[in-house]
Amino acid sequence: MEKLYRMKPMLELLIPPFIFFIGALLVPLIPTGIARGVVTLLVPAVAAGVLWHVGLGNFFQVTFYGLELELMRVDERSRIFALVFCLAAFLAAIYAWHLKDTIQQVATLFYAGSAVGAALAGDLITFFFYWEGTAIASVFLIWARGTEGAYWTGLRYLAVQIGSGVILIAGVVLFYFETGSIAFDTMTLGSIATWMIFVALGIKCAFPFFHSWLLDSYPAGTITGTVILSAFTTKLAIYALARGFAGTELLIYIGAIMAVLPAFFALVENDLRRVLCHAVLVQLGFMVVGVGLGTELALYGVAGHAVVHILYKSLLFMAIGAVMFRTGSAKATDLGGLHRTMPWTTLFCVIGAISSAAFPLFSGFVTKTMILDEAAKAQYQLVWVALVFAGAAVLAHSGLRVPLKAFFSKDSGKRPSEAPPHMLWAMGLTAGLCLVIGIFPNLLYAQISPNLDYNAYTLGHIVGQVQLLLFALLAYALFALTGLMPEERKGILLDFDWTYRKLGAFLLAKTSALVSAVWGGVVDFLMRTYQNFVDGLMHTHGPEGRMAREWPTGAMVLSIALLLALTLVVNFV
Amino acid sequence: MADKDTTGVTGLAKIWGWVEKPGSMTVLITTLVIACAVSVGWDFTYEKYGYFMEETLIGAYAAFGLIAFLTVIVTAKGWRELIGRAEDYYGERSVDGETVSDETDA
Repeated sequence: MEKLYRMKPMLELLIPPFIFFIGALLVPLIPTGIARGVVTLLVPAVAAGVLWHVGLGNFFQVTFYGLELELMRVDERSRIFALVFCLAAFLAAIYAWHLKDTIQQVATLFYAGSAVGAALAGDLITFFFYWEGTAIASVFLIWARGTEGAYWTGLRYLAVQIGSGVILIAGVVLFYFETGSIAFDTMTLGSIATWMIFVALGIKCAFPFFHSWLLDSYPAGTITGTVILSAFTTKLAIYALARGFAGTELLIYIGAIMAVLPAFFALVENDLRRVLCHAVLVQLGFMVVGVGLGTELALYGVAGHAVVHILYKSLLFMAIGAVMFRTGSAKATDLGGLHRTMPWTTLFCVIGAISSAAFPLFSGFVTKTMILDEAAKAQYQLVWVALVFAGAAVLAHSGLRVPLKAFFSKDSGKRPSEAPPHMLWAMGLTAGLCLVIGIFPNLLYAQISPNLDYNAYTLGHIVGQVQLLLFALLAYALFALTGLMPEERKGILLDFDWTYRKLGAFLLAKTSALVSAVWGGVVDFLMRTYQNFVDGLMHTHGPEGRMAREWPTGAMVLSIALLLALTLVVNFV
Repeated sequence: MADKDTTGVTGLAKIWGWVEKPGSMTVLITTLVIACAVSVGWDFTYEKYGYFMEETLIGAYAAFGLIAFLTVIVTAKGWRELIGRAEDYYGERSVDGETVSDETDA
């Protein structure tokens, strides 16, 4: 008993994010190879272990310049997010075992640690520091690609992420002046402060019109970097929304739009990693709706869906990353027929795809139904229709198109080797988790909350979802057989970022030209006025001017005589 | 022909290879059609309930799946004509026009 009593305070000294940060500082000191790989694996495992053992409660409460900081708040909601972040970091470390790039390894640990820290932050100031940590650390996973395009993409990404942080801290400061509190708890939209915090979270959550950074930056990351990027930032934003704005009705409509719109892009997008980014937006939409509904079951559904989404989306990014690793491309027009030589990667991709389509017995099904049920129960009929529509459309892009275009479809003639063993292990483990959660959902539910009592496998759910997906599949087959499916075509699709990358640049150039012209005109006018003034002075006072002219003595006598005569006249008048 | 290249083809690859054999597509489509019919027929075997009237209709989700897919495909095709651009549209400030990355072993 005494021994156990001593263990807990020792564990409490190790804040999980600091374990990541210590690991990140140690990594450059360890030679590349097995030892370094082991450290990158151990760090998330130890952090998860500590998190598990400390139990629920508030740890490390400190006063800083009169502010009450809660560095580690472990409750049901924060723990599940922090744990899945550790799990994602662990799986990514296996996937990235071949990596010898110190920058990416350090950035990954700082990024994951910041995400874990933010999830555990009990106050808005602590949350802000970790929030910025995720932004700064993650950009190196884009820059590590080492191309000019990646450099510029990283700059755009950083501008958006830091911009979100600036809005957040401004909102937090206003919130503190307004309420006298920095506690990170449920807020009500209404004041400028809460709106600013809401927008800051919305930017990272990729709300409509704020979403372009995700489509721009994730496909620009390194092969392992994109797997890591897909796991943390947006899900952290979902957690923050669930913590701060649960039950905000506006989120229901925002989420519905997020779930529907990407389908129209994803089906004709050529870059398969960007197709997956569109699918990320769809699933974020589901989660945002759940947060907006704000009921207990909806919030459990959000937490659960974040977990399964991190897993199956990581799996899909891993599979397409493995294809990119072997072939050098992730574009549909360059791929096809890879099942011949990459059969295991094909299998894992198919499992990820079916999970994302929420087929019964796969992970997506057991959490998506919770959010759908709650939307229907709350009588948001249009929103419910939008979510069901999005559920069918997901099958089209990430459920069918990604595995088909990469591994089946038209033979590209490429015969790459199977993915390296460590990548297969990472994909295999992740695929296994997708299946285990799908078949035994109570294992996940128990981690979300012991109070979560939900049965996804009702007859109505199963038949409805099977019908939806089978008929969507039938439609796909009919379109494919009749040649009516949109053909693959090289190119990109314009998105909202066009407004600042092209239109904004154009308007800036035109505005700059206009300002230059106006300024030139003003300066020209002033110069001409000044020149005229100087010329005038020269005319009167210059060497040739009237004032400088020499006058004869007689003229002066005449002037004085006239002056005297004038004085005489004035005296007599 | 590429499909005759069996170098390094594993057992799992052979299973996947079945999909491309002549007649496989017919089997798959037939199976799919039967599965679709069974899934709609399943609706008759239990009492349907839902929060909206539409949920309780026979084959409601089937119709939804078909309509959703049709809408997405038709719209996406037209949409691409409007917003599709060349890969190098954003020039050097984007990765889309770049060739193979150094990190691959391709």
